[in-house]
Amino acid sequence: MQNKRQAEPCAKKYAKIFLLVLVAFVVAWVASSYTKSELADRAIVLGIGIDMVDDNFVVTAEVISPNEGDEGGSSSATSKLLTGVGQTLPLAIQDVFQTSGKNPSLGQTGIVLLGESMNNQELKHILSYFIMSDAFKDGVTLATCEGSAKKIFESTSPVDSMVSFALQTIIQKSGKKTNSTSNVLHNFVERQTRHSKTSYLSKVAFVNDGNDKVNKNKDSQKKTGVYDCSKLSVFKDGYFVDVLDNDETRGFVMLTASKTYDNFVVDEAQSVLGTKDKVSVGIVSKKVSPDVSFDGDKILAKYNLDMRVRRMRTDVTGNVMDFLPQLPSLIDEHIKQSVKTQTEQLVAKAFKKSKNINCDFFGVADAMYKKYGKKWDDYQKQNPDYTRQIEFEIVVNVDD
Amino acid sequence: MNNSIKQTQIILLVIIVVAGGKFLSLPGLVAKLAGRDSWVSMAIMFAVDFVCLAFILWSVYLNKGKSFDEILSDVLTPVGAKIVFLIYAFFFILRIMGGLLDTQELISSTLSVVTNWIAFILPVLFVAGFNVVRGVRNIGRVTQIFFGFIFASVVGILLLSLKNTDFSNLQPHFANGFDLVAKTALDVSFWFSDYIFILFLLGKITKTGWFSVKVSLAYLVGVTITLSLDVIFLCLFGNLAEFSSSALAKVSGFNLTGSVYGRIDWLFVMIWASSVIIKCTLFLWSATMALSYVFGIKNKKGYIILFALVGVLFVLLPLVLPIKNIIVNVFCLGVGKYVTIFVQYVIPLSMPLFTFLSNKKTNGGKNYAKQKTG
Amino acid sequence: MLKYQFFKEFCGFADLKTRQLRVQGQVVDMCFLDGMVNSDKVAEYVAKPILSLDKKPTFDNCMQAILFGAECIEIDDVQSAKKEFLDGKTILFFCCDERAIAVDTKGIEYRAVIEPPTNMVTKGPREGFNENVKTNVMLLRKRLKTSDFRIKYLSVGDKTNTMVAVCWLKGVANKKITKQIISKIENISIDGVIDSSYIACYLDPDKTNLFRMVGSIEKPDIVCSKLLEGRVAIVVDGSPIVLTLPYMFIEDMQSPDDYYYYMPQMATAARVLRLIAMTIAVLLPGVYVAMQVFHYQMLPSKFLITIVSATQGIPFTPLIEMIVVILLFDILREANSRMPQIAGLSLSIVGAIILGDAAVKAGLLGAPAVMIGAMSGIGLYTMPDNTMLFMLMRIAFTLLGGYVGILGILLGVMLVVSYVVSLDQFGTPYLAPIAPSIANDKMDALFKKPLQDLQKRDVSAMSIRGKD
Repeated sequence: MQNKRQAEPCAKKYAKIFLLVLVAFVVAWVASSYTKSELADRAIVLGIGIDMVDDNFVVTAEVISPNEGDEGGSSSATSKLLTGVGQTLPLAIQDVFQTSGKNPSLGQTGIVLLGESMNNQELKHILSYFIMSDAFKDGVTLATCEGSAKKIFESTSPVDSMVSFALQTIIQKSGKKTNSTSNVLHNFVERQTRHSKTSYLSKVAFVNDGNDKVNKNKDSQKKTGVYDCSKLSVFKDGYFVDVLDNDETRGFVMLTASKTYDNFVVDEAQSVLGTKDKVSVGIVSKKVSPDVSFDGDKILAKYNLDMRVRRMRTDVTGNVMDFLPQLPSLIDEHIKQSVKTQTEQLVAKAFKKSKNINCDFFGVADAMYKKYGKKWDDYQKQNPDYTRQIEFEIVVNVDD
Repeated sequence: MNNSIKQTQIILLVIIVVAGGKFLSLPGLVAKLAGRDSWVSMAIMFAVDFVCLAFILWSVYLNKGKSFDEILSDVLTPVGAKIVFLIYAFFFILRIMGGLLDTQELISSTLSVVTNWIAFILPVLFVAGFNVVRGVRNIGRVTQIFFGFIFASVVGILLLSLKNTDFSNLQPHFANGFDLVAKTALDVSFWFSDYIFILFLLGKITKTGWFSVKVSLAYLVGVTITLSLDVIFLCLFGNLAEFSSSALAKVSGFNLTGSVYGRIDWLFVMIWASSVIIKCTLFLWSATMALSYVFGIKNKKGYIILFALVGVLFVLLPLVLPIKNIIVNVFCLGVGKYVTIFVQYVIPLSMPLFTFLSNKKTNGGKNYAKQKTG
Repeated sequence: MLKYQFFKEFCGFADLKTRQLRVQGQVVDMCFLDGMVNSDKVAEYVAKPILSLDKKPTFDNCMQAILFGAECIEIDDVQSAKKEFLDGKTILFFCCDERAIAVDTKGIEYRAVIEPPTNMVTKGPREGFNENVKTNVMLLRKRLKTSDFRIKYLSVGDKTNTMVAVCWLKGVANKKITKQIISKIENISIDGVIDSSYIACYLDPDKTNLFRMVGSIEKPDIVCSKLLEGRVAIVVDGSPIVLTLPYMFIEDMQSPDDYYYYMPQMATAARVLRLIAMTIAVLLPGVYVAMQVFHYQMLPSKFLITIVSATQGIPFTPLIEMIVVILLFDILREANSRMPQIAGLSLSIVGAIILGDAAVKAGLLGAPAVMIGAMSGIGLYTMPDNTMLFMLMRIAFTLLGGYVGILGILLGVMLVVSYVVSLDQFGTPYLAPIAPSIANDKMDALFKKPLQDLQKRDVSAMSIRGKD
């Protein structure tokens, strides 16, 4: 049953074999020329904490650590903390991995936490290390913290056993109150390059709840608690300036992000059951219309804030963020007026803070530049402390 | 080498070449030169390109079955035509090298696939070479298969990016004056006029069913995609845009921050990267055709030898010369751009006249169709 | 002389049976192959009419007598005599006559027309071809009651003389294609044709033989629909598989069920699902390995933690781990297909559950790799005709993913696509109607339009033209 074929000439046969060997060699060479690194050889970083100790950067990296002997699953994996010290941030990060013996992998990093000791450093330059790296996500969460970042990473929270995940979740969720868009690495650095040269970050504070967790090997104790992110740290030209307290933060955020919400407590309000009582209302939606202009030598920054508020309730799913359906009678004039007054007070505090610390965290300069271009450039050159020249104005309109 | 191609395939190729490859280092470079108004510089070049495309399509309309080399030989004499083709080959080779060097950077700095130039270029050349040897018909068909996926990936990237885009970041317009924007447009002209591959298809195009209108619309689709991505890139990255070496990967990854999503955008980026490879393949084919006109080669074996020579150039040149620097400093910011402008703009704008003269020359002698069949 | 040459050729044949019928003093030599003929037919249609003749049994008289009962052919050369004899016919030699008669008394047992194991449908006709060319042609003929249904019988194979029937619909199939196919089959030079796949090898223009460019169908209803679309069918004696040409890749994605469910949306959904399954089958292991070795960032952090936990302590690299899983799966599949059905069932359970689970528990393989290997393996069967091709391709893509990462997979896909789009057969592009795009044919490609909308026949299957 053989196909009748003519025998191939010998030379052609050898040429084919030679070609085959050559192709195999080239393929093998090409394949071996690609740098490979397996997961087992990598130290996959989930979060980074940066502190400054004696003019040296101390980097604390939370890396994935699979539990030996377990069969798999995220529940069986834990994290380890690796620490590195160096004169610069890149050197400190390198040091982390020199001691671990694994390839550093920053691509999965979800959070960068700056310790209080970083307040004296020029962050724009330091963080450009991450910005220039393509594999490092531009959208990484960036935050500052009370005390050292290492301490925060050494704690644990009921939200998630991994601090990086817990912090990301909390900052992103609470970001609705503290303007989460600012907590992004790229936004932070980019804002520093704008005309206002200001930026702000959530300030994480660890609140110990006393139920400290003892490790399996009982040689160390992890402090358990919650992370409070209700304050903002303000930065100017790459340097830390001040912390906004709760009211200032609320007032500031009220005018910046359209997606944020806030709650108000109104005394002596008509309750659902007909009695006069304290009620809590929340912003369902809001619209901020800023308008900046020159007013002689001064700068006029006028904000129109239109809000819709509802009474709060807990629905069947237990979600406290939901509100009662729109019933006009439940949001009466008294509530509207109270919310308006509270808002104006909060915003006024934020305005005052901006002037006091001479920090344009409202980004008036950016808005002015967008509107006036070169004219603003000239003005800013002549008035470096222009923040003090800003006349803030707020018009609040509360509706149901 | 089968060089017949369908109208649909040309239309898809126009979209692919206009959008493909313009989203690697170019947005960062233009942003460096023109700042927030860099998208206007790109828009200006696209407008100029549109005029040139209209002239090429006019020439297609006037053409009576002659190929590009026949037209140029008729008008510029065979020697003149050969010089033009040599410049074309040079231009295409530089464009491909620029695109591939950027792609290598994209995959190494973003996708963590680190390798040397030779190990990167050999597989790419193998795929491109296969298509070049099989002819433009193959390239057209490959485009038909990949087009849907490429388009979907671009839409995916746009959707991923739109969430955080603040379009007010483009303001103020012309803060540094229009002159800078116009100068930047001229400086980056090297990266444009991608549609000139159509010239190499002259004589193979069937002029039916609103061909010119369809190609023009396809061009506008490509322009819309490119400008949309560029605008989003500028809005997202603002003053840091100029530091981005691979704009597309940066844009798409911007919103994927949480631990819930991985970098799924890389899949989109890789699919989109296939458009760069298709574009390079098409330009490689054009370069091979240009060289075949220069050396008078018309058989498959000759094409393979030519392609092999071009391949050797590809492998060796970036090893001995800083090609990216040459492209930026000589052909963007330097005088080199005036050489490429000749083949990018002067020849396309002259094509209707050349075609007319060539037709006249033929009509003065024998009937061209008879000559060919005879 | 003819009789002498014939007997000289078959002298010593163990199954050669001869008998002399003497009528009115004249002898008629009757011979046939034992087992190849039906003895009742021999007695009824040959012996009885001759023995009951009331005149001398000459060639003409016998021909007339036998004609009442059975098909008979006049033979005047030894080659024809041999051919008919070996085909199971009874040969009659006459005194002083150089002619012989071949009477059809074939009595070979064939399989019944039953539902074939391939091309099974949940709804629709259940008839399948068997190994008899005549029966198979009859199955087509009974569905195509038109004078346009044409058949050309050819004989292929120097030793087997296998009967090959080329069938087409006149006025529907392209004449040039039909001629080319017939000419190609006529020019086949081979000792024997055991199955239709032998013929397919000669008709397949793909030099790598990886991509199947000849359709193989086991059900007459499908072949009929292909003939109605303008394709040519090739029925080979001894094979229940009928070949159809020209063949396009899109046909792999079509199933008879798509046409028997009247809802075109169902067919579309099924085809899209098959495409997704094919993509998963071929690319998923490679992408998984590439993600582990190069692009771990593509995985969500929490999923990455799962993978890190599941793969820690495994002695193999991700690439070798995946190749081992794939090979294990393929060995199981191969063993399963060759084992008796009952044993095969137990083997699947042993292989899939016990072996996989044991390997994971022993720490030899990671659970994600086993899961991905299994997912990919199941996906291979959504296009059963291409299982082997996809199996090879997934190994190739796994290697590419492991060595070059996702770039390698992209380039690999581009190379495969570039090769496949360059294939065409009798002027029909293999990837039509997608590349090149043919609007008319797209109505029944990946997306299926209702039957009423399919007013025109597929262009790609019918004609030779310069498709770009």
